[in-house]
Amino acid sequence: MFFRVSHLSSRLTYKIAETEFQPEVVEAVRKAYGLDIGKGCVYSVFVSFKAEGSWTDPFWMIYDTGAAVSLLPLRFFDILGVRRYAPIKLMGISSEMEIRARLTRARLRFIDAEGRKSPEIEAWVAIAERNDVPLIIGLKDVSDKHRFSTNPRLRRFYLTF
Amino acid sequence: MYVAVKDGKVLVAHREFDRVYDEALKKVGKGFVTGYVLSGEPFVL
Repeated sequence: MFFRVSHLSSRLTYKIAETEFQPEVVEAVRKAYGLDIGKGCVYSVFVSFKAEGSWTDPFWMIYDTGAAVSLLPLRFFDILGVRRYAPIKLMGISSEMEIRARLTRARLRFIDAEGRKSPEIEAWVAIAERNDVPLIIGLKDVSDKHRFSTNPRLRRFYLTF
Repeated sequence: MYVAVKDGKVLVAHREFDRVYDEALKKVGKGFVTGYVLSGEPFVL
């Protein structure tokens, strides 16, 4: 008897979170346009990392389609037990906003609120040399592992692996 | 702003990730979620 091993795709579901703009932004728009700017939105996901052979508790990270590579705060250097890295400099929205970081390999997986998990992904991640940077999931080694789709009416987005 | 949450309750909130993570670790050991929260973003678990 032969068994056929097939890859079953999994779809993870996340809520599209609404965010408030900073009060100064709201006020500036009100003054200039006489309008309420309303709310913004952000795509956030739960991500767990493999460290020393086991999975960490999940981290709440921003899923950023404009980020070339994932970004983590310095504390992750110890959390992940990093032994090898390439020192790099990352630039933000201008060349004056430069931070030093350590580019390394990490194993991660996505988890949704229902506990569904993605397959394990090995990806380049940049660990900043400071602890006040956002936790960002960028595209490097991640974008080619899944399909991304949204349903604005239901205020949901989906990652299908 | 970072927050550490367990069972729907905020354990720690601060602007430095390491402080939030380490305090949560000390308080509950494991089973918590740590995240970066934008202004006004609801932290839904």
